[in-house]
Amino acid sequence: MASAPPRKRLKFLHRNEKAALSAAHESSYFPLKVFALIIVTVVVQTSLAPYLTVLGAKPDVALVMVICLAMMRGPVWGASVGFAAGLLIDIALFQTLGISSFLFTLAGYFSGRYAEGVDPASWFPPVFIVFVSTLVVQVLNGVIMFLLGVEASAWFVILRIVLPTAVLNALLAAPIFVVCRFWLGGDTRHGLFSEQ
Amino acid sequence: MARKTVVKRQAVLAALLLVSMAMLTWYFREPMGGVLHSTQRGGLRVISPVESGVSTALDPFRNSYQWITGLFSAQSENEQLRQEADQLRTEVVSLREQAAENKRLREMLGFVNQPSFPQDYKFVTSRVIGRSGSAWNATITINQGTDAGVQLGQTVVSGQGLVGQISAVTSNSAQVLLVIDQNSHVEAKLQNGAANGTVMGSINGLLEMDFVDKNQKVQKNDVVVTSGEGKLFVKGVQIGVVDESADQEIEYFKSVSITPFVDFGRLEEVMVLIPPPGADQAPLVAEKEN
Repeated sequence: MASAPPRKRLKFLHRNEKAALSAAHESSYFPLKVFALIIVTVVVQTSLAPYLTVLGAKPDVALVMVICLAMMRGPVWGASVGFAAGLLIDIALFQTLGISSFLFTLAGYFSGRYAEGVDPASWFPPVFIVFVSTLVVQVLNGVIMFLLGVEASAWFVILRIVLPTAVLNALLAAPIFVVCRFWLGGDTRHGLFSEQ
Repeated sequence: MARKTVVKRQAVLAALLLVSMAMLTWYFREPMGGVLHSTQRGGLRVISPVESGVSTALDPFRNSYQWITGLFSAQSENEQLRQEADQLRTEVVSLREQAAENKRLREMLGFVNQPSFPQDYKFVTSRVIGRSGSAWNATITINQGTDAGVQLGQTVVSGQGLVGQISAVTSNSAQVLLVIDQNSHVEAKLQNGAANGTVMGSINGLLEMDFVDKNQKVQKNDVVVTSGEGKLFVKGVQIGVVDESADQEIEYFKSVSITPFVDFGRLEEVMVLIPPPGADQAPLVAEKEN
């Protein structure tokens, strides 16, 4: 990691050198920023999101954040952040440990893989991948719940939980992506509404 | 892309998925006092003060959102509330007469000095600081724990009626399994004593009363209360009113659907009923299932 030069020397550096130093400085704080983002998202997910119901559906802010970060930083970051966020949610809501971390890890990894082949300046990929990922995560969650003995009508689950949550998450994708991009700064590989 | 990078990525994915699966399996196999449950309680103990603070800070936003959504139903709700208020005024007069009569009868029967609910119970008022974000679980987190006397299995109520039961507790917070959760089972009876059964939650947020004998008489708007059987819940707490009762030839029991008194979507504060010292506390349903 490059150490920051004395302030007096900075003005003599070339513009490109300044940018490189700034990027190195930025990346050293990146994991901390991601950690703070995870904590804030989990708190919002448990304290505010359950109240923002639309047609009975509750937004899954944490899942959207994981997907956005995966699309910015790739599959390894996506899977790792998904695991951490899922684990914290399972702890905060006193749910069975491992369910959310398993599902969010998968969502983060495959969203990151998908993002490698799309146009980073387009608004469509994040919205699309959030919609599809939410569908898959909710269906897998339903399968796990069914295996754990929870009984529910398939139509009720699809029409009242899976589809509304996917639509709501897709609507939240753009604003959450913008917030993530603002908070994590320019140290991102892909970005919604990026200037690249 | 370099093969090394691909292998590294897949190794990270496989490792994280394996850890998740291992945790899931271990969590199910261990008892409530196991390592993972204890770690989870420790984590919750750290998170809950943050949640409590944020929940308070977010109150204005929540209230604004609920006010906006409430506007859509305000007109019809207003009309309905006026009718209910008229009806309730009549009922209050009738209930006062019944209460006076009840007091006289209790004195006659010599029960007046005996300990009975709710006099022996203490209340711990708690704020709701979190709730399950998933449609699959119906739980809330409250800001009181063992430090305030809250223990596993205690009954939780609101001004409207039965809310649920404490299913996990730390020193400064507790989780309440709502009666509308799929795993909730409450021994109940009709207030008029005409029938009894088990009230169970469901994923659609409605209550069903099961194991009601077909010979028992159940009518629409009958009030359902906890029966206190099994000592899992305090006796006599209101749960809801009968919405529909049906007999099906192929079923051995009646099918009774219940509308709960409590609006679980707008719970802000609840009361935990603390039993008197030495009271018999039956094991918790959730504890047995975990």
